[in-house]
Amino acid sequence: MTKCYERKITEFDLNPDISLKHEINSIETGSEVDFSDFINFFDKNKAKKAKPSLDIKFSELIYNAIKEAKLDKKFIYDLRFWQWICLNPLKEYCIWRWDVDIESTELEKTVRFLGGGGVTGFSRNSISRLYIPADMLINEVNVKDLKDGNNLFESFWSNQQKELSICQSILSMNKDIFIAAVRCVDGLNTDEIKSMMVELNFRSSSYYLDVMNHEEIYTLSNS
Amino acid sequence: MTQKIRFYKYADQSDIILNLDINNNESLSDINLTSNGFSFEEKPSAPFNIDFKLAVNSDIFKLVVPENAIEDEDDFQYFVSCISPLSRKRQTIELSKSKDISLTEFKNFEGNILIDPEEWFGSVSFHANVVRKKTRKNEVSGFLTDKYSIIGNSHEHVVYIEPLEKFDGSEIEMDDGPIPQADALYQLIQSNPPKIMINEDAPEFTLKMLRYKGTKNDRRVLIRDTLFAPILVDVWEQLARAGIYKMLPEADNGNYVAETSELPHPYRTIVEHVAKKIYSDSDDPSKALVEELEEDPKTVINEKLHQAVQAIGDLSKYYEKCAKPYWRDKND
Repeated sequence: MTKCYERKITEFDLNPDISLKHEINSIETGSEVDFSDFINFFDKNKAKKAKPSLDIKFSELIYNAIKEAKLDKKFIYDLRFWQWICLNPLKEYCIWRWDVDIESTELEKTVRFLGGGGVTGFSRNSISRLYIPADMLINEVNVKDLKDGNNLFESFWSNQQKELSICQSILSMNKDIFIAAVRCVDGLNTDEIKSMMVELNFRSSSYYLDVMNHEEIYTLSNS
Repeated sequence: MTQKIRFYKYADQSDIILNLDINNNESLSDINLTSNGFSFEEKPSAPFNIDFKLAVNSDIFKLVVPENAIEDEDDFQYFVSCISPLSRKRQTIELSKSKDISLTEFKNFEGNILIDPEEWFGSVSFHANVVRKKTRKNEVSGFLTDKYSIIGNSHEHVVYIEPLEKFDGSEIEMDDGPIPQADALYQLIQSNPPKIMINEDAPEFTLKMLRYKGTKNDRRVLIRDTLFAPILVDVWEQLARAGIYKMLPEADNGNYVAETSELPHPYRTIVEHVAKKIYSDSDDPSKALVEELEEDPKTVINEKLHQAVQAIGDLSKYYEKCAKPYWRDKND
């Protein structure tokens, strides 16, 4: 059964090798997430060096696994659930993805397993950073302006800066703003992506983006 | 502290007053008032309602609309933004006109939200926005005339669902043992609680002094406390610096610095303590810190922090206490 820690794990609960210093209780989620497709893909590709290019596939795999398990929605935005995944079934993936040095005593490396505070924390946790964009984008909308027809998801993962800029923005917790942001940054380079997010943030001080749909936000951002 | 400069007419926050009322029932723990909202003694175990009451001064509709236009409260919508980064939630509640009859120029609106503590974590901030319903055909310079324009907002209220863990510095543990750097005197181990490891190979009398447990007001205690004070100041700085870096985003978007309430223990209270010292004139020092980190993190980290921790560690007080008996002239 897939679990969730009873309390939030902190960097002080972990040994340098990312094992728990002491036992921490976990609670049942009531669902069994099947990670085998994710793990099989990882095993087949772990010799590859272009790790960021594989994010899109891992994102799709974790999304499908959780969707098929019909996990209770309340766990999706509960960091304790993502911590359990990162420290248990997908720990090897997390170590591999970020080249985590398990000999080092540097506390900051634990952030890839634990996430952190706030919206940034979900982006830093190795697995929620994959799941959330998929949850926001897959099967959601068809938009004509993207060059590949309707694949917002593919556009999102085409540049790592999009994940950083969009997912670490407090605005993007709103789904329509998230979708509009992905549309706005399509085809932009890294610096342009940063500028576009600054622009969107600026717009939010005079327009109430939270009640606008993604089409309206997109139009406003491009006006 | 930064201040927003607007080049258009915008309602004053004193004219848009949001009040929160937590529907207390037996399942909720005690609720404490904070400088900007409420804090539960314990995380609630069952869902609870928060009622919103918004009072809007109708005079604002003269200020925020062009002179030739006639608009009133019906031309606007009233929303409460509910934002909780730790829960990755950003919700909007539309308020409806209150049935209460107002005898003043204030118009009343109301609404509520159900908070399920299984889905909400940390804190939730609430503020009201007054938003234009339709675009005015003729754009007038200096006025926000587009649909969805925010023409005013209330002050922010914060409800801390999870209680604040306190840290006053007395929790720091001290021990001696091996440390990685030869000839260094101590190492801070960032743990919970934080730990100062004194180098076991430090000179004999230094170790003797730092291990000295005396509390009597004598010369040994005076010297020990004075020499220990800069160590404590350094420890505060290291912990605060680590906390502040956790607040900064990886992406250079200039848009999101985490709130202090999102930091884990003990960093949250350390950073809030530092914020209170730096922004002592502010009504909301934590918010002032976030705003300055958004604008200019280097100044906070490299210039203000090391001074604030000296004040927190009472460095001047310890130095004076030690210097006074020895540097006093006959005439003093």
